[in-house]
This record gives sequence, C-alpha cells and structure tokens, in this order.
Amino acid sequence: MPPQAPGGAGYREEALRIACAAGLLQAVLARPAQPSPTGVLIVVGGPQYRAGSHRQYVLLARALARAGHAVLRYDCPGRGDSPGAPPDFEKDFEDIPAALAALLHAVPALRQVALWGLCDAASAILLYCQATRDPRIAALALANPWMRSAQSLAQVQQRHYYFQRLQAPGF
Amino acid sequence: MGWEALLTLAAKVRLALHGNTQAPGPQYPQRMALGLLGFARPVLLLLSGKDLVAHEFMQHCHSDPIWQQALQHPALHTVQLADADHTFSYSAQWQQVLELTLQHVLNHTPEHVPGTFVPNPPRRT
Repeated sequence: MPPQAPGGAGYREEALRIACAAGLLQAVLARPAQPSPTGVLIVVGGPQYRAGSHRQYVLLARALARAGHAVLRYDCPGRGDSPGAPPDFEKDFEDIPAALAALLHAVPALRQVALWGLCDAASAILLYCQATRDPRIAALALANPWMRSAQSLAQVQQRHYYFQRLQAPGF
Repeated sequence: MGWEALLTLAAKVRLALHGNTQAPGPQYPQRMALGLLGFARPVLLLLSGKDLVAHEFMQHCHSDPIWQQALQHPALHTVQLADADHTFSYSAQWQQVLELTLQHVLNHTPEHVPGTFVPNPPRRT
C-alpha cells in the first residue's frame, strides 16, 4: 500500500516510485475519486523538481485532480529525490515513457494522457512525440519551449536585454 | 561596468549576425517541429512576454520554414501572456495557465478512439 496524503475534495495523493534505467524516480500521483479517461503527466525538466517553481506543479496537479483528471508529477533523474544524472533532453527522455507507464498502470481507468511541460520539458515532449508517435498522447501543453542556439541567444539578448540596459539610468 | 557591457554587446552582435560555425550541434529544433507536425491532437502553446526563452523560441520560428509550417498546426492554440515571466511566477498568471490548461487541453480533448489504446510504451524509432 503506497503512502498516502489526505489530499483534497474529490482526490487523494500518493507517493510513487517509478522504475527507470537511472533508478527509482520519486513521483506524486493525484488520484481523483472518479478519474476521467484522460490523465495528465507533468514532465518536470531543467533545474526543477516535482513541486515545480513556486510549488506550481503541486497547485496544477491538485486543481486538475479536482476537475477529475489523474495527474502524475515526478523528479527526473538527478533532480529532487531521484537518483542518476540529469538527462540530456535532446537525446534522452527515457523518464517520459517510464512515467507514462507508471501513470497508466496506477490508474487503470485512463485511456489517454495529456503531457504538460515548461522550458526544456516542453522541448523534450515534442522530441518524444517525434521519436515515438505515441498514440496514447491526447494533448500537449507546452510553456516557453527551450530552443536555444548561441546565435539565437545573441539575437534575443541584443533585441530584448541590451536595449533595456542601455536605457537604464544606472548604465 | 558600462564599457564591459558594450564590449559584450559587440560580441553578441557579431554572433547574432554570423552565428557560431564551430558548434552546429544536432538539429533538435527541427525534430521538435516534426513532433508537432506529426501530432494531430490539441496543443496549447504558452509564451511569456517577459522571458528570453520565449523570445528565442519565436525568433527561431520566424527564421525556420519548418517551424513556420508547424505553427500552422490546425489544433494549435497559442496564447501570449504579455506580463508573464518564464515560470509564470505571479499567482494570477499561474491561475491563468491553469484555466487555459483546463479549457484548451483537457476540455477540448476528444474522447479516446476505441482501438487505439496501446498498453505498453511504443519503441523509439
């Protein structure tokens, strides 16, 4: 029986551990009393862990669970309480299929999953879709996708950062 | 301090104009675009107005034909949040993100089509 937190109205939260090549990934499942067939996997990227910046993934997961959607959020390898080295999102997103399998196994009522990602997690989601064409993916939410090259950074800094610096009184 | 910033700016201008020919790297932006083009279901794209990452993304999209094509995705809903930073750090902004997720990702997601559910993860190509 996994450890459980009290949760909120219409859902409860459970700690899960997800088997992955890097080791056991620490995760939290928000499980509605009556889960919709569509779950949500919050892919946590970059220098974040399962709570997200400003605890936003906690808030997002609980709000979606109150709306009837099972939500899984997890520490990717090398972050938070998960072992291993942080993956290179361009080449290695093995945590996504492992977390998807864990969510679908934990909530048998699910038939499809929406993926939610910020920054390099949004990029990893698109790379996962390109590599797998996974038919279980129902929808995508992509926030500020990471698409950096040295040239693009220089162009954007020139346009959006240095212009403001040059105008600043303290310059 | 100001002169150092100006020298750095000059280096950035050179890089912006000519690029870095020493580090071409794998073309993951094109693979990302192909991932979007091959995905036929709803997609919500959130872009913050006060975020260099979002500006870089749009900069790339404007200069890359495959991304211009990808942004024509028929089920893509793009929302620009002018006052938001990279992590939507203000509560009101995050509340907006939450509502958009419910409205455009989950409420518009079609019912599962019987016969398409695959219990095990597909193999990577």
